[in-house]
Order: sequence, then structure tokens, then C-alpha cells
Amino acid sequence: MLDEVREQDEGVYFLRRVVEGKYTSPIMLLGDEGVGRRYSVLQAAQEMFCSDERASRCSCANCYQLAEGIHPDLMVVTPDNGEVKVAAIRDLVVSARSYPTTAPVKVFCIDGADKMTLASANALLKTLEEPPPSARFFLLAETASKVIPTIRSRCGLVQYRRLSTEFIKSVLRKSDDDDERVSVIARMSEGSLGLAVNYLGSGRLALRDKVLNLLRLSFDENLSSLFSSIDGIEKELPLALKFLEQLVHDVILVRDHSSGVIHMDVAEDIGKMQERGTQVNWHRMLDDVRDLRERIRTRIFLPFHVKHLFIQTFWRRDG
Amino acid sequence: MADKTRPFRVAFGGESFLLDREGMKARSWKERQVVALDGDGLSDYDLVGVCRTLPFDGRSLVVVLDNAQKVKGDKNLKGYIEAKDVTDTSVVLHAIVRSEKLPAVWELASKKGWVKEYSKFKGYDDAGVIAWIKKEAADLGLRLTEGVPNIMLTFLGHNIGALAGELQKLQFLVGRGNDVTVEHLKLVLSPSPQAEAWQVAEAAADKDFRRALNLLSILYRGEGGAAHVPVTSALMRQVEKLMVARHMFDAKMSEDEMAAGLGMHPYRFRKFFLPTVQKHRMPDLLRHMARLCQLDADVKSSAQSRRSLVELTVLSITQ
Repeated sequence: MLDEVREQDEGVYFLRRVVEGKYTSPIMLLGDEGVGRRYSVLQAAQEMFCSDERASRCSCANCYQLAEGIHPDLMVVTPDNGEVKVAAIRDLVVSARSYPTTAPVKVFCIDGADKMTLASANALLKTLEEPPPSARFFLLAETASKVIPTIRSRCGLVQYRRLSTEFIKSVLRKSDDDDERVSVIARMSEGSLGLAVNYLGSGRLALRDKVLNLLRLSFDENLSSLFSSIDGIEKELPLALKFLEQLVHDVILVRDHSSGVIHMDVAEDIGKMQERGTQVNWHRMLDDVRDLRERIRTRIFLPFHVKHLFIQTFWRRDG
Repeated sequence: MADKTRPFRVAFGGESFLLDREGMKARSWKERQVVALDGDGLSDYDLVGVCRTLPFDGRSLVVVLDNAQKVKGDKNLKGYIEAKDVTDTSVVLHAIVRSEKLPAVWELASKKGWVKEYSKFKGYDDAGVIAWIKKEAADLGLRLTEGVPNIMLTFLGHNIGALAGELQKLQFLVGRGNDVTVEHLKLVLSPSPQAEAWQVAEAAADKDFRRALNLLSILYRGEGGAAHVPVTSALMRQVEKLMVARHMFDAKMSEDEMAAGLGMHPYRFRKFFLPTVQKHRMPDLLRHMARLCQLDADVKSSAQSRRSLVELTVLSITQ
């Protein structure tokens, strides 16, 4: 139920108006992955569909089917190979024309509105313009600018905020007792509970340590090991670059604003690293990492670019 | 023909032309009924079923299985191979395995029969190709005079299929048991020079701009726009290797250590790669690296005249 959605008051306010039937136009929920957009939609759907006590552990048929992900009146469209394909949108449009089966309304959630192809977006326009009375549309996107204007203008926009570190920590503590690890992962996730849970479950700190080691190797002028280490994490390089950005950010901050350091468990190593390069170089590296992260989408051969990034910084240091 | 009377015959390797020829030879086995199968999508159960079904006319059977590497090799097939008596030649299973490494199930089969490897010649193994030309000519009853194998290699490269075709033409022209001279060769040879992306990269690294551009032009003639990405990748790999080698060279490491660091044979390193390394300096290599990063992004975008961009990069490396 919507009461369970935390720290997203604005989002909950709008969704509650949808639940109450006061707002029936499509809504676009904007925000980073893992901040609770999809969770809110599912909770709103439960509140609309529940035919019994409207409690979180309700056992009515509708709530049961929602919990199992098999409710006939809820349709969630997700990207296939990074794109929301036109076939999926056409299915959605056909389904929206029919009446709900057991619930009072049909709920359609497009998780990745910013990943719709042009054909998909065009196929959806008419339906969004005049939504059937028994259909509710929720579009999820990271930023509004990535959605084509014709779709954007047909939706009410609701911004989801990043979650507080304290809240993320409180959730992580339920599955991990190590306070330091929980704190680091909560900061690493940058306000995304989804990412934090993912990092905790998949041992991402090990990858972070590998990235830290890459920095060490570049300072130790061990080119051959540096290159082979980069090749060794080839498949995880996009995430490794995110960690690299955080680490370089920490290196810049560690002396004057140590409270803002994300990876505080390795603050000592970061402090030593800071002494080995100039502040100008670290700032340049931070810009380069951000620039490279922007370019990942163009399907560049990432290992080579990462090697260039390191060697460039390493070379700059030598003047 | 003695080897034919074994229950299993396995041909494997990466040289498609020779494997095709082996399959054709097996399919033309006159005394037996021939069943030709493709391993792609074939279950072990079905394969064993075919091998256990003898023809009604009392003839023996040969099952020619192409793409045998795609067969799963579960206990059904293993059981059949293990249970087969080496003297029982009523059914011969002839497997064409199109991979450099023999899968376990065919390794097992080869122990009860005959195995032949048709590996692809390494890019640098011109001597191996010349030896193959001579052997193939001898099998066709031709005596090649001096210089003929070398000319064939120059014009046709490592294309075994084309070389075999030219030798057959020569057999028609001069007849079995006769000498083939360069003059004969001129009458039949249809030159189709070939180039591969790594050859372009090697020539560029060797600062041989004529050869590099010539190879690049041959490559573009054969592959068109599809050559952009392979050439860029090959250049990246080459520059990366040069960079590691030059770094070790500047650190005054011994030749053996450098060869080991690059995973190369010391002789090959000393003879071929070290002179190339000495032609480059670290700042130049770093510049090439930056240029290749840009090229990588350009060839994967909709940039205009991508071929010119590739040629310019090749030229800049050769300078």
C-alpha cells in the first residue's frame, strides 16, 4: 500500500490522487533507478485492486495475484535489449482498449519510457492522448529530457528524489550486521535503494577494491599489470567507472572534507593516493571519467578507452 | 583404405576448406550407404538412432556428421562409442568437428578410430603454407619448379581453397607427372590478394605506410564499410602492445623478460617485434592512443567518410 513508500511524499501524493480517481491522466515518474518508482506504482495498483481490507498483507485474490506478478489487469513493460520495442507497446495499446478483468481499472506501467524507440513512442501517442476511462498509465524514466517531447507533454511529471543514506542504511542493516560495510554501500548507492541492495548482495566491494588497485598500479608505473587488470574486469567496466568516479571524488575531498568521503573504509589508502598526484590532475581525471561514462552508450571499445584514461593521467603526472 | 575400416573417423580444426573436402570424400564412399547429418540441432539420441539402423539392402553404413562440435555428447552417445567394438565396422561414424579443440566425446571416438587435424595456418607461417602447396601438388602428380610455390603464396595468400583450385587448374593444363613452371602459372592464376586487419596494423606499427595503405585498400575492396571496426580494433591492440613493450624497453628490461611480459617467443620478439618497438616513443604512442579513442567513437557513429578517418589514423601511426 502507498503508506509503505518512504521518502517520496510528492510521488505518493500524486499516486494517491490517481487511486482516489481524482487524476486519470498518464503520469511520468522521474528519478534514478532504485529510488522506488516501480515499487510505488505496484503499491498504488494494490490499493486500487484490493477487494478486501486494503492492508499490506491482504490475502484477497487481487492482492495475491499482484504479489505473484500474475494479475491480468496489471501490465508492466520493460526494455528488451536496452529498448522498449514497438511490439510490446502495440500489445499494451490493444490491452488498454479492453475492460479490466477483476480489478476496477487496468494499470499499465512502462518501466523505461526513456528507452522507447521512436516507433514505440509514436505507437503510444494516441492512447496517451485519450486514455480509455478504465486504464491508468504510469511511465518511468530517469530524466524527462530523454523522453520525446510529444510523450512528455501528455503526462503529468512527478520527480522522485534520491533516498537518504540513513534510510538506505536502515534497510541494509536488516540483512547485514557490519556497520561500516553498510555505511559504505549506502553512500556508494548514491540514494538508490535498489543499487544498494544489489551492491550488498553481489559483493561489489570487491570490484571497488580492484578499481582502487588500478589507481595504485598506474602510480607504480606497472603498465603491463595495469592493462591486464583492466582486461580482467572488462565486463564490469561500466560499473567500475562509476566506482572510479567516486574514488577520484574521494581523493579530491579526503583532505579538506573527509566527512563527504564515500569510500570511508579505504580512506587511508585514498589519503596516500592524494599525496601522489596534484589536485589539478585529480580534477582532470574526474572530468575525463565523467566524459567517458557519458560516451559508454555509443558502444565504444571500453577497455581501450579506460587504459587511455589511466595512462593519460599517469603521463600528466610526469609532466 | 585400411583406415576406413574403423568404426570412427574424426576430422577437426579451423581450416574449413580441408574439412569440407574431407566431408565430401566421406560422402562419396561407394561401397556403403551414406547418411549425411548436420550436428546443428541434432540430438545425441537421434544420432545414435541413425547409427544403430542398418540399411535394408545389407550394405554397411557410413554416417557423415558435419558440425559435430555442436552435438552435445551426452551419455547416450558416449555409451554408444564406449560399447562399440573396434572390429565392428558395419557402421562408420565420420565426424567433421569445426573447432581447433576436440570435444571430449570426439576425443573418445578418435581413440577407437582415426583422427586428422586440419588447423588453420598461423598468419606468419608462410613456410607451412609453402610446404602444404608442395604436398598438395605432389598428391596431384605435379612437380613445381623453383619459385612457383612462392608466387602462389604471394598472389593467393593463406587461402587454402584458392590454392587448391589453382593447383587443380594446373593439373588440367600440364597433366599428371609433368613440371609446372612460372609460365604455366601465369596462364591459370587469377590473383586475389587478401589482406586482414591485423596485417594493416602490423604494417602501420612498422611505419611502412605504403604497405599499410596498400593492405588497407585491399581490405576495403573486399569488405567495404565492414572493415572500419576490425581495422580500428587491430590498431588499438597493436598500439597497446607497443606501449607495454616500449614501457618495458624504457625500463631497461632484458629482451627475454620483455618477450615473457608480452607472451611472445623470445626469438620472434627479438627478430620481428623489437625493431618495431624501437621505432616508436612513448609520447607518440600516447598520442596514437588518444587518436584511436576518437576513431573508435567515430567509426561507431554516423560520422561522414569513416574510411578517410581510418586512413588518416593509419597514416599518422606510420609517420
